[in-house]
Amino acid sequence: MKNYWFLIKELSITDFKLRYNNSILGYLWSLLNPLLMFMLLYVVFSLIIRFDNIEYYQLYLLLGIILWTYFVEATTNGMTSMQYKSSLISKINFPKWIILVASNLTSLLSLILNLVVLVIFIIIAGIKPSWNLFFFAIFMLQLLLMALGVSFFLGAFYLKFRDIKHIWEVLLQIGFWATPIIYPVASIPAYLKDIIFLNPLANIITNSRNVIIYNVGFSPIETLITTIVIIIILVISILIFNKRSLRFAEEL
Amino acid sequence: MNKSMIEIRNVKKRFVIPHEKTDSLKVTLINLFRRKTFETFYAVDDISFEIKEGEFVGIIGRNGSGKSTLLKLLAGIYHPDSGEINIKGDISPFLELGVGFNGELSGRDNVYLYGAVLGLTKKEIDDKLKDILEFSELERFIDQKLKNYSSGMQVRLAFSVAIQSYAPIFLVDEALAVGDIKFQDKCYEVFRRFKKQGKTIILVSHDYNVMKQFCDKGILLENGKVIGQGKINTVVDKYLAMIKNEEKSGR
Repeated sequence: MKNYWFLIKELSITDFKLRYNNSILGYLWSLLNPLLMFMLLYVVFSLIIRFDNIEYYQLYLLLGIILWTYFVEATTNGMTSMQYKSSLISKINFPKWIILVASNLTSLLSLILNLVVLVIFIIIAGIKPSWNLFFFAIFMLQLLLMALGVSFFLGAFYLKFRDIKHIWEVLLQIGFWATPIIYPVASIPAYLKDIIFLNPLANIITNSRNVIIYNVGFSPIETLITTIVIIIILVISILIFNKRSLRFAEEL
Repeated sequence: MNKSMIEIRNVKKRFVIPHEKTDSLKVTLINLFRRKTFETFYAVDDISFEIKEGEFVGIIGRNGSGKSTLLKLLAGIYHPDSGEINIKGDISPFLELGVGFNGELSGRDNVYLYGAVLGLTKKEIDDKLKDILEFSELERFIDQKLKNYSSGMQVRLAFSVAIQSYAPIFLVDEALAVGDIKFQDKCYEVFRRFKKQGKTIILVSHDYNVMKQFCDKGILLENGKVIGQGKINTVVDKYLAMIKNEEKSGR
């Protein structure tokens, strides 16, 4: 097990180093992407279309974008990671989940950098830290496990059916608008609310905002249910992945 | 009597070769309504053998006879369709030197990456780094990017890392010796040492002189089946005679 951990670490740190290799701004790019997206949306939705009923809208938006960006990056890169490491899979036998977990960890490094930026914005906005902040760890864990589960599911089929990549891109586009990232939760019509909050990401993002920005609590029972759903997704995905991974070397 | 390290019984590996490779959902969906056209063939067809601890075994056969598939089955990269493979102890696969090497990283970073891929821990690599550098004779270049190495230097570095494995079983595909003649001698020296240490080594090669020199035992493959095994000299001679006969009969 300790050998696996070293391999995971080597693979993920190497990928992170290589991602911004030969670029002048280097690691800054992992911050610039979500920040530019944030600026664009902030200009549109604070100057052109206004959500007046929402306090700290810039933080609301930034946190949503950062968490959503992680989900997009982790699942997209996780799904295709086996293809990029095909030389390893076809020449050496080791558990394939290592490649996928390493890929998710690379995305996690970007997320951590982005959260540092978020903290700076929060301090500038003058929000006082509260004990509620500790619950953020729960929602982060939910996000990581959710992204991991979806990555395992997509990765299990990606080598055989490369179309999944394009299907997933479309689904992510839909997901971006179906998740309360740019619009306020309060503006969702009541009949849609239940459907939208079936999506674990809607829960994760909303709860994260509540504990970080608004210092309000969350529903423990709903959080427990979300966690159970996420764990079920993860376990099923891992089972499918492990079964299919026996054939990966032939499907490359 | 030495204990058995590798035991394989009635192992079969079948490959399905579709006439048009279906790697997209669309093609698969269309094919649902069409008669599928594909061929199946057994790359490894009902092979059984046993390899004992400390044996140096050469696998011989022409291209496409199933040697590489057999090695990949032993390495656990492929899974057999039927039959049993029992292996006692870790395997260090030498199927390709420098798996995972990345040209944008320094030689040193690549040593750690490749070591991790081969199952070494950070501490083990730390401890062996000096040996690796010394053996590869690349101390001077170790902090340069790998892409600036010549291909000979790259395999030297890879070989130097790969031989550090603690595994008792080595699978070697055509890479018993790399680099220039001087370095090749060092490589052979390593395998002589491995033999003395009682490691079990399985070699696939077309260099029959090297095989006769190192191997104790040979296994001859043809069309995925074992058609001869025993003393290496006998098996190599049988193979060479087989090829010669075919040439004579004007194949």
